[in-house]
Amino acid sequence: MTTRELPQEFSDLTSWTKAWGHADEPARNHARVTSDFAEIQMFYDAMMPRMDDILSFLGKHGLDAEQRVINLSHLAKSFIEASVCVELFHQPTVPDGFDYRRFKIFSPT
Amino acid sequence: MNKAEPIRIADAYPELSRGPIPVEPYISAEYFEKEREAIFKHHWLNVCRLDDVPNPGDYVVKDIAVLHTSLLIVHGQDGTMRAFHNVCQHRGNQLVSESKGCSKFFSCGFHGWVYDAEGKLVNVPDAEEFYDLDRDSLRLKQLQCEVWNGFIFFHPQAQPDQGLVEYLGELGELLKDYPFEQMRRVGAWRTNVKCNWKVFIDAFQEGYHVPIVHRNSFPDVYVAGDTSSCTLGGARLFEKHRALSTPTAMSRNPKPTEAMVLKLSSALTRDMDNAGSLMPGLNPTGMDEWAFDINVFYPNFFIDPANGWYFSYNFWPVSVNETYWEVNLHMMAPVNLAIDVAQEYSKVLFRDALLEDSSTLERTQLGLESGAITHLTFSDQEIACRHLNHVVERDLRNAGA
Repeated sequence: MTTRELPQEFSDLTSWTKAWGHADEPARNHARVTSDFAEIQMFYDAMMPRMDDILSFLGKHGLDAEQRVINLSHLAKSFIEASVCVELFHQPTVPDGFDYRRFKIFSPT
Repeated sequence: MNKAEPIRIADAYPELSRGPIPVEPYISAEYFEKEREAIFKHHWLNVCRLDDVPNPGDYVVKDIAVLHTSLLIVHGQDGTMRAFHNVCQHRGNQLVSESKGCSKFFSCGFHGWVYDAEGKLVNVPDAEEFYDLDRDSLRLKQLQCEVWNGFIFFHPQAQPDQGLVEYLGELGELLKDYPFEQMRRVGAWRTNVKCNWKVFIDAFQEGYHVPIVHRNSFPDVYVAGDTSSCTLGGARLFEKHRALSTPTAMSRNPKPTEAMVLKLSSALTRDMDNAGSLMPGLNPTGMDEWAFDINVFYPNFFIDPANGWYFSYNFWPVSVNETYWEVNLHMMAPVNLAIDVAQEYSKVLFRDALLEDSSTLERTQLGLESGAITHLTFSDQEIACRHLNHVVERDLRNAGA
């Protein structure tokens, strides 16, 4: 069973994990491209002020960290998906892009 | 005052024409058949990486449409990589139907003939019913298979006219010490696009399109000096392969998230702040404000390396106007989760930029097939596209096709 628990210092972000706390790129990207831009902007706005602290915290943990730390990294990776929408594209998908549904994302391992 | 003659890449390559290039090779089914015979059946082709078959017994199955075959790539119990036609020697059924797995033996799903990882026929049910069964002549049909820097190549001919290292040539020599083995695959994307394989490749071997096609993903990133053009430098056209280098504007202000990740990791857009020395094989012509190199191994394989990451493309023709595309992105293994997240920025941006690149391909193919233009007009900055046409044409001519 997956858990959405985050490290205590970041427990205030737990409410975002239902929509954005996905373990792999296909799921994170799917969440992004099927969200409204307003939802993406809200997630970005909630995460951006915490990203310095999140990255400092994650910098003290390796890839074998406990699950709630990994969960935080998943949330941060969804923030990355959101960031390109907010900072570059101004919409959920790539403007004038190839149909993303035809572009198969594989888990790399 | 007389304007100075511009320095042209083409000046170093007088064998290349400077005139229009015919559209015919991009749209003619007859021409494509000649390419299949003269090119794809006669060159080393990269099929996967060791990461795909890391342990003894691991195998992958790859359908190679342009060769009308399915390949079985096996990591042998003896550590040797082998490539077989994925065809049972009994009645021709496809031997392995799974796309990957791990096994010491392969059992045909039709009558149960069994082969080992070296292709030897080791079991035939009711063998006594056959007349003089010669198991040695019924081994799986094997292809030449060699590994270079973790990249697994095969050659469709039983007796290739040159070995893999010789084939990779000067470009392979340049990249031989790049730390491929220290990197892990972080992204893998696949798609089928209705365009000719050369339309596809051409879109990734020039920078002229960058300010237009990538106006959203990379505004003002891959530009040379104080221009707004992605002027590629360091062009070197080899006998068949070719290499170019991409500029980046170091003085520009990064986007907020980009600025955050650049403190932690080299990014797609540029090397990280305070990066150490360049990895071997990079920026061979010493370009200022350099981003990454484009290395094209003829006919269909790219390795584009930077300081801390590289991506590869495999363009597999399916028909004259359809191509299967494999993209893999590799980065230095992160030492902590912050770097893992920082790398995600480059991965996401790269993937999205590929969607921008891909948007032109089918429209271009339709335009070419419309007959509205008979020739392509390539600039000096598109000399790699001209070179590809030149090499293809020469291969076909030499083959008498």
